[in-house]
Parts: sequence; structure tokens; C-alpha cells
Amino acid sequence: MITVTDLVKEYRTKRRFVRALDGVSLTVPQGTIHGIIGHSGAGKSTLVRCLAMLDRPTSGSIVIQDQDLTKATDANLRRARRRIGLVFQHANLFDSRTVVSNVAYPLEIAGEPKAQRMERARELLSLVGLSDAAEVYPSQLSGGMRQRVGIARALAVDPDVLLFDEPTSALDPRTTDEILELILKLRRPDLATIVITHEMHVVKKICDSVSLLEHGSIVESGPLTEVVSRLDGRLSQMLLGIPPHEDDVPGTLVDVLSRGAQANQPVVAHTSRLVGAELAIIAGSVEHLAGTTFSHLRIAVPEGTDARVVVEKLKEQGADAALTSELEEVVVP
Amino acid sequence: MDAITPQMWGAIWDGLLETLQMVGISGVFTVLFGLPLGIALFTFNSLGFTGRVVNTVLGVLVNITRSFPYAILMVSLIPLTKILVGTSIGPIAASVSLTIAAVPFFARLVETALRDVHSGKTDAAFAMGSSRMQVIRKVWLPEAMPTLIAAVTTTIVTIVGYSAMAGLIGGGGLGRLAYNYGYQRFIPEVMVVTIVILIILVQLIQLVGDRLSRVVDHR
Repeated sequence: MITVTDLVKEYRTKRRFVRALDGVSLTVPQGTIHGIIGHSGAGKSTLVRCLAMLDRPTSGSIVIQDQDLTKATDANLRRARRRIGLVFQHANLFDSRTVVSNVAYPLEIAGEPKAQRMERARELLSLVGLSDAAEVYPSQLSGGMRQRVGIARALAVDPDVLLFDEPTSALDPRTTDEILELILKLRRPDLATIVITHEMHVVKKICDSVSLLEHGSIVESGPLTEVVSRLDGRLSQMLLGIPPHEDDVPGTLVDVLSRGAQANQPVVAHTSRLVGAELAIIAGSVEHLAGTTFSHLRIAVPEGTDARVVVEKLKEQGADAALTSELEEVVVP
Repeated sequence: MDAITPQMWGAIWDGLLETLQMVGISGVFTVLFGLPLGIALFTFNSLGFTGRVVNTVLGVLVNITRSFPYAILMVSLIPLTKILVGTSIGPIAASVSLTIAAVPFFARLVETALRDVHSGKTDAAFAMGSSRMQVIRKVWLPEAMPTLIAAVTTTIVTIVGYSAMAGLIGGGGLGRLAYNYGYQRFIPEVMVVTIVILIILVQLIQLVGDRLSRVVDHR
């Protein structure tokens, strides 16, 4: 379990005073994968550097299994850092070392004998599917393979927390999926995983819970299925957003969100019959997230029919609904 | 070539050996002193306020030494040379001023080579729990090795050039030979042979340096 409480990081440049993290709090239990989503400038990089203790936070605490990393003295900090395995966007492997020697590096600096650390490194390489590449140099590998080596190296310290910093942002879609599959495969009951990313796809595919980081603080957070169910939630609109559609649709627009078994039932068609009006589906998205199907539809209620009645009827059937005009618009990049 | 007597060929051979001796001794000492100085220049910069002060002091010292024209430096170092090796004449004496001239030059090249190591690698090394010494020994130096070897090559070639100048004030070697026979006694053939030998020497050093650099380059 990693518990981050009220983490603040301030920078003092010559003239300016930057508060890059403004009280970030977060809890990720062992065995779960937590996504932190944020756009550039939201404070993602600062958060990664503070969590990995590459930069000391100004205040707040980072507690991993009862040890507060921020309280570690410089001498203990080296050992404390080994509780977190860090995977970088560009892997950051050492070009002068072979693949197996890269993976063995954390064990080497910890003083493990050569035979043991090489054996452990080979085990980790086979875990990430790279047994054949042990003796080659990183420059001979593709981006996806380099990332696998980076993951194996992060696991070599036997960490309590695995921290991914934009692990797939430099990869093509197919390789991205392979790496995400690997992250899912590495899920262990004694390992808390944090994935920091700007890609919704990553969150949809692997995360159990998710936080939205904005201007240095977490503005929304919760289990994936929960945040997606909030019709007016920012994360819901990011993860289960309505795709672009024509602006001049006649009638009043209504958003409908249904989940699980309801998502597959013809709620809209049934409501059509109840109110005696044709309800047209303008746009929508259906996603299968964390084992549950979610659908978010935008429908047009023709003139002469009270849209609020339609909303009521939809709610009676267990779906969540609201007038589109009353939902906060969120620009999804 | 008839103008060159067998005795002169003998002198050329001796001159070459003296040049190699000067370049060899000062090359070894330059790396021995310049490498730690270059690492210090690079490291102290990232160690907070005190570090930056040390870095500035080292940087000023390096710049002062580098602003001296070599000819002036070697003359002004004659007293120090006498204290260190007991004489100011001969290739060993010349090595003192050659080393002092080359160390700051090499240290700057080392600093640049280390700065070129991607900061992400340093982050990765520290995140895995490396100590500062381990980062220097196991990450910075191996990762910068191809550039460092190129830096050694450039430095040795520079020392060859300086050593010819050192020859003029008693250092010996091919420089003195070219000056004595070619200029003072006006036997241009000796000068031509000397220059050809120096060209071949520099080419060889560069060739070996490039090869070595390529062997350790896995980027």
C-alpha cells in the first residue's frame, strides 16, 4: 500500500514562485493498478519525481508499508528508493551494458554476487518475454522491447510499488497494447502499481482506479467503474465521452448513461414508447471497462415533447440522464 | 634525400623517440589528473550552492591556464620544472609544462562528454538506489566512454603539436630537429622528413583512437 498525503512541491526560480504540486493525496492498495491522468503542465512529471524521491517534496508524506520516504535521511534514502520500481517513458537503459547487465544493475549496486544477480536478471527477462535478447545491447532493440527491459529492471529491486511514467507514450498502438498486457500480467497481490499517463486508452485498458490531476492537485478520483458512472464527471466525459456530432440537431438534447445489463437493453426505444415520441440517437460511445459495459448516448427529443419527462422516464428505468445543456462541457483533447 | 647523412637519420630517430617519450609521459599524466578534474567540474555543478562555488573556482583556474599561450606557459614554468624534476632540459622536463597545459584542456572535454550523458540515465541510476560514486563509476564513465576516448585522442594530438614547440627551449624531439637543421642550418630535407613523420604520427594516433572509440560504442 502506498499512501500519499498532502504532497506539495514548490520551486523557486529567480523571479517566480511555482507551486507544481498543490496538496496531492492518494492511496493505492497492494494488488491494484491506479491511473493518474493529466495534461501537459498538470504536474505529472513533478509528481513522478517526488514519488520516486528524485526530488524531495516541499511538504507532505509518501508512506509505503509504514515507512515514510520523505522522512528518510540521505543515508537511508538510497534503500528507501528501492521500494519503488520506476519505469520511464523512454526506458532510459544504459547503452554501454548488455540487456541482462542492465536488468542486473540494481542488484549489482546492492552488492549481490554476480552469479545470483545474473540468474535473477535472466528470470526477469523471461518474465517479460525477452530471454533471447539477454546478450544484445539496448540500441539493437525496438522501442517496445526496450520498454520491456525497463520493466524487468524496475522489478529487479523487488519493489512494493511499481511506478510507470508515460510508459506507452512513445510507442505505436500495437506495441502499446503489448506493454499494457504485460503490465496486467505483472499484477501481484503484493505490488501496488501507479501508471501516470495522458492516454485515456491506457486507463481504460488496465486501471482499477483513476485520478485526474489538474494544476497540481487531484480534482477527481475513484474506482474506474464509479468515476465513469458520474454523468457530469470530468473523468466520465474523458473516458466515455460523446464523439463529435452535428450542432444543428432539431429538438432538445439529452445525455443517457447506463451500465451493466442495462447498457445492453433498449432503454431509449422503451422510453420512446412510454412518451409516445421518436427519440433519435445522435451520438454515443459504448465501452467495456473493468468487466462492466457502459454506454453513454446523446439523444434528441423532438419539439412538442417535454425533455424533462424523458429524463424522468429514463431515470425510472435505472439509467442516469440529464439535459445536455445542463452538463458541464469538457474539452477532450 | 642525399642531403640527409646517416648521422642525421640517427638524429631523426632519436628525435622521434624523444617526442614519443614526451607525448607518452604527459599523455598519461594528463589523463591521470584531467579525468578527476573533469568529473569534478561536472559533478560539483549539481551539488547545491557550495558545489557551484567550487565549480566556479575550478572553472576560473582552468580558464586561466588555458588562456596562456603554450610558448609563454612553458617558459614561465621553468622554475617549477627545476623543482619537480631537477632540470629544465630534456623530454622529461618538457613533460611537466606539457601536462600542465593539457590537463585543463582535457578536463573541459571530459566535462562536456559527461554532460552529454542523457539526464534520464542519471535519474534511472539514482532511482534504483545508486550512490554518487556508483553513478560516476558505473553509469557516467561507461556511458561517456566513446566520447572520452575521442577526447583522449584529441588531447594527445594537441600534445604532439605542443611538444614540437617544447623542443625549441630544450625539450628535444622532432621539433628541435626541424628547427635546428631545417631553419638554422637550412637543410629543408630534414624539415620535410620531420613534418612527414609528425603527420604520420598524428594520423596513427587518430586512427587508433577512432577504432577504440568505435569498439566501445554501443549507442
